[in-house]
Amino acid sequence: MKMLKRATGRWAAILAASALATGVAASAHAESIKMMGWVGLFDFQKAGWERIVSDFEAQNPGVTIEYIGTPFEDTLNQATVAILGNNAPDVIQIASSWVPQLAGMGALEPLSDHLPADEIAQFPKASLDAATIDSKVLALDWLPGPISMGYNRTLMKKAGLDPDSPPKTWDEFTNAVDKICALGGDGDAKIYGVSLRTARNPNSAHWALPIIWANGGSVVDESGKVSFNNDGVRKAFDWYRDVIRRGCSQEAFDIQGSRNVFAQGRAGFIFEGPWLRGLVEKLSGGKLSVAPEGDVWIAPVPAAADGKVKQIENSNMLVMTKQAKNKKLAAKFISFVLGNKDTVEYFYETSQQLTTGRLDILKQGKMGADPYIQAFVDTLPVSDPLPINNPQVNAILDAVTPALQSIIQGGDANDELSNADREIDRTLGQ
Amino acid sequence: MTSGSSASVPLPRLHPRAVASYVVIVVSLVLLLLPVLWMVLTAFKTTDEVFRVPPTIWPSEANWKPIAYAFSGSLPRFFLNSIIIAACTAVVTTVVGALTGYGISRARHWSTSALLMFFLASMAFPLPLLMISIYYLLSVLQLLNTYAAVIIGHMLLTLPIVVWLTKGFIDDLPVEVEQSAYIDGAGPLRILFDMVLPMMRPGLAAAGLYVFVTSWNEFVFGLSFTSSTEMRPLPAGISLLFLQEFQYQWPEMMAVATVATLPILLLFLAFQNQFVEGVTAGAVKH
Repeated sequence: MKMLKRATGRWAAILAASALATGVAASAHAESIKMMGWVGLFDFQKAGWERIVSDFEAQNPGVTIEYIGTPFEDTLNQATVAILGNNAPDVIQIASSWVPQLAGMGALEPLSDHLPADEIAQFPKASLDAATIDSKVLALDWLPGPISMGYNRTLMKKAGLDPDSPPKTWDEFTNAVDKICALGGDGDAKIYGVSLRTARNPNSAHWALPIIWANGGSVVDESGKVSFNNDGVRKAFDWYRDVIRRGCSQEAFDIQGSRNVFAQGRAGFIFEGPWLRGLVEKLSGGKLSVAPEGDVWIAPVPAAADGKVKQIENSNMLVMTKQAKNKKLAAKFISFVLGNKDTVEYFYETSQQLTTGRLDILKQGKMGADPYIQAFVDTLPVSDPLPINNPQVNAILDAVTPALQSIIQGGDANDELSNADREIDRTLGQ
Repeated sequence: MTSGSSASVPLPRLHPRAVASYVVIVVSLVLLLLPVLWMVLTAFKTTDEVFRVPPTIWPSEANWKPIAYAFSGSLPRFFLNSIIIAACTAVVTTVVGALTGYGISRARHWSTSALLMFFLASMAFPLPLLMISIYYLLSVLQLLNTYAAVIIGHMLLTLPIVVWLTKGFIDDLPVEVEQSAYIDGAGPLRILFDMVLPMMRPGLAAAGLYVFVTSWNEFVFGLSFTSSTEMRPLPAGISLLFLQEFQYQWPEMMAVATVATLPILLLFLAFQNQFVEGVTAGAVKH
């Protein structure tokens, strides 16, 4: 009996000690921040992201970053399921166009309630405007993606154009496209004037917006109604049709297809973001260089007839969810990711991207000295991350893409755009 | 002699309809196998060759690095996770589905038809709605990011089909055998385990194979119900590694896809007779 009691006492002591140890261990790692996104999945961003995590954890002992990797295409769905399932991550990496959808679900915590106003004031106005709902800033630009014009300097030279003077107006641009297209090429190695996205994908309609603006069109009228049936859009889509009919761009190019052709040195122009340099160098196997005097360089999208340049910005933003367990800590993490100069600069060095939306940091240090980065930074004031501020933005773009394709194939622009508008009205209940 | 013996072997007389069927089969086979062949060949190319213009069909020289890549990093873990999830789902769902199918088939009551219709109707639920409710339940039960979470999800996806499949198979089994065993004093469990289940082997193999393949390929639940790299099944892992905007590792992706196809191929080869027998049971009225 005594032995039994002794054994029981020993087991109780062991259990108590292990419970204590578990408790101590648990309290040492009591704080964790769940972050959902795709940043850690791209090879070129992995090192920068890992440095952010290790530096933040080192500066905040006892805090761990729990990273939930989700493919870009599925992140909105995954975030939605987690939010509705009452298990939302604290911080989410999002595309700028998702802000209205997540805000519409009431899922976002205003960052302006947790971060200092002077810190928020460092972000471009266009980006803040897009992420502000009811005077509250809900998202902040993390990896800005102003979509500018990439051009092949070598092909421009061959076509008798001045590579140091890329087209600044839409007419100049069309002329340059035709001249490069006239270089010809043969068979599979044909040279295109421009590599447009024309596949049946909402992304093609998104990428068409700067072309619509450059042709004097608009997609949101003064009353805020979304409408594509106007002269500018017709002109832009007719331009698509004519360029493709002349054989100066392919008819159903998807994202990858358009990039491959440009990176193979077989297209004069492309509309892409700051990731262009990495793409060209990787896909061309180092055969093409991206530099002011190299094979490829960048310039703003050509201006409309009124001289105004207007681009889209395909940026990645950070948001905090309403379900975040420790909002103060989550805000501290967001502030660190966007504003810690050492990690932001290391992220730039390893990814060659714009690694914060803060203009004060973008314009100094190594990023400030990189003409490639600065060429994109200069366009941030004219780049709109949310040209259609509506939770149904993807459905809207999805309704426009078939119209674009039909017009390219010879359909009547008026009819097709009327149909697209009707579909949009049905979707939005306008 | 030679000419005499060859003359004695009659040449098969092919009916035009038979010729047409063979043509359709061959064309279908080519169409089905071409993407598979392209996948396998791409797995042995370099990235540079994949993007070469004009494209090459055969690799200019065999590049084994992508195949080695398919067995490196997190991929073996993804494979292991998928094997555990698919095997457990196949066993549990087949057993539960077979028992349910047996009950529905043998019980003569109006409620069994209603139950069968209920299983059928459950397949009409939109997946996103189903996913949110299952996710919420798993979250409450604190099962998220465990094998159990994905197995339960896959069970819910496949159970209705398994119940229908096994019920149809059991309907064809002679009930008289069970009745005489019952008269001889055998209990219901003995009848089930010693008589019915052995007779159901082809049906069970077909159902198990169907569940295994569905679970092996399923992506959405595997991605939604797991959050750490250690727990991701293969399709979710592949999407995280490759299906990204800036990922251009086509040879590596095709190598992983080729390796991922092998277990399914081996399973089909091992169980093809039972599978065909199982899925065609009940197709002919006796």
